[in-house]
Amino acid sequence: MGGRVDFWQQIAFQTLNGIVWGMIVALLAVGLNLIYGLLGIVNVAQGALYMLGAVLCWYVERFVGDYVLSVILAAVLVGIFATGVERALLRRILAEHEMTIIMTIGLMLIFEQGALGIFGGNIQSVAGLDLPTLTLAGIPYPGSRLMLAGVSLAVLGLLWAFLQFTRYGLWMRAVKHDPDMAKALGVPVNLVFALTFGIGAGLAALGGGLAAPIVGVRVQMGVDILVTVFIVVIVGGLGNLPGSVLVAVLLLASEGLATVFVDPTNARVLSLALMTAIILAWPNGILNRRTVRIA
Amino acid sequence: MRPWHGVAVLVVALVAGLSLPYQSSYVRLLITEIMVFGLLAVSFDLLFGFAGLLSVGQALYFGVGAYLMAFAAQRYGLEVPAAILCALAGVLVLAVATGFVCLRVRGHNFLIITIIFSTAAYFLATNWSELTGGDDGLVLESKVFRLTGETLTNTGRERVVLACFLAAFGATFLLLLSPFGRVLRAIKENDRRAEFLGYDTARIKLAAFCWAGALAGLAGALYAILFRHVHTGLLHWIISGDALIWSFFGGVGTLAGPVLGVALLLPFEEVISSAVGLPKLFTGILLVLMVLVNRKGILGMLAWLRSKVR
Repeated sequence: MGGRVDFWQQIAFQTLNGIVWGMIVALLAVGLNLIYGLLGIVNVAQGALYMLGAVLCWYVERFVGDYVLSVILAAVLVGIFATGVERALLRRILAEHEMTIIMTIGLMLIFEQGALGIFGGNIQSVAGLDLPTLTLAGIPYPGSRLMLAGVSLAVLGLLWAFLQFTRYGLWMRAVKHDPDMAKALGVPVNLVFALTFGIGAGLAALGGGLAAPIVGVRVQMGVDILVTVFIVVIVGGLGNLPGSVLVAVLLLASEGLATVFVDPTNARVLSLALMTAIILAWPNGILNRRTVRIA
Repeated sequence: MRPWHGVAVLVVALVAGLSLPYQSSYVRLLITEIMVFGLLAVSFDLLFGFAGLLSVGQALYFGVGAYLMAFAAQRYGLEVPAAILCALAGVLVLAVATGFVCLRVRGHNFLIITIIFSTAAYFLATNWSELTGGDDGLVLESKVFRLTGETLTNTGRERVVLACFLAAFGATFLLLLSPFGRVLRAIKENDRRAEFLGYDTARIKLAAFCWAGALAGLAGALYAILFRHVHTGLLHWIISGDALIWSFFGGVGTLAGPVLGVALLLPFEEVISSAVGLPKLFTGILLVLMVLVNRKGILGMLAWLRSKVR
């Protein structure tokens, strides 16, 4: 019966791996969705911001020597930087979807090539946290990865609380509902826009910092994850943040589960087929109610 | 879209193409490369600029066209025209099948499904490396490209690219000047209204989707002929992204603009990469500046300048 136990262990292990990855993708997807919902910016540079987070985390860690501090620093620095980019450039074209795509493609190229020029093209590794291997229901699993998923979950929880219970959160919801009315009522709309873009970009960078120890840090890493993030946001529903988290975890967990039976590439193809079916069946996202289309 | 823009593109391409034997090999490659990627950019523009369908999946047809060309010429020993026709037929079948699915949804969903299809194809091709050669791809010897029993020379292969470019661009331009093109634009403006006017909008969109797929497939087949090398990277969405960049840079919805965009950006990147390095960095800066200064691309900017001069 040893083989059978191994089989179940493998299933649990791969699914857990998928969930951990899903929590990282969820950070990027929530950031993307938040930015799109409030500013109407289709942020193609989200993958590049994730890469910047990972690269900065690696770079800062060489000086600071502390992983946790470098992750936080990288996320905050990218968030502040992105706020500046929003104020200087993206502010002029809010809600013009096609133009935001073009400009953020330009920014993606600038970030990636800039990182290549400054940090070089080598694949770097980050040590990450040194936590013991835990045994979950008889399955050994690296504690550092669980920690990573936990941090992501905690940050998303904090974000929810921030949106729900603070003045800024209230302003954000007001601006999303009706920017002109919000402005008339004295909401600092410009500040809310800048802050939202900074938070969305910071989430991507945090994802990069968290992913740094489990993937090779390289300049192209943003290109690989970008498609997944966009799919997650669409399938979860535009403007639906819990939907993004749910779909991210479901997608990556099912992909992880599939790798037990087929090789990783075919697992990706299967998950892509699944997502296509979901989009065809629920065009408004799986959690969004069917809205009546006007015009 | 102005008729003289199309004529200008055809005349310039013909002159440049006929001057090829007198150019350095570097310039020859650049000119023919512009024609190949020009068709890819036109394929994007046909969908987005005329039918209002934002597709980031044109790499699928480009890559499949390139591979079908390679297989037809290398494995089955077909002569170049027959091989091109085979590649086109294969791409058309794929475009009908994928278009049928993609066009069931609209807006963001359409965009995402086109990305999903090209990404899935990229993964499948990477996995099936005995057939596709994976990332390294397949290198085609020049002797596989034959016409009337003779192996094509470099000049011969460049002439094939030129002829195909002229034919495909000319035909697409005429198509969009025709009533079909006007209906397509009516659908872009308001597809409900076009439907009420009695047009079968679903079928017209599918036709445009297939034509665009065929154009991208032809561009891929020409890529295989020109570079004698096909690899799975041709299926990656980054290629579709390039088509989008070129189209917007030249001026979307003009058909001549995308070719102009390729003709400006490719040499620009060549010059930058030999002078400074990191060419895509400067392309990125150009894109950002373009959006800030002028949103209608180079052709739009020229029209604006003309209106100022008058």
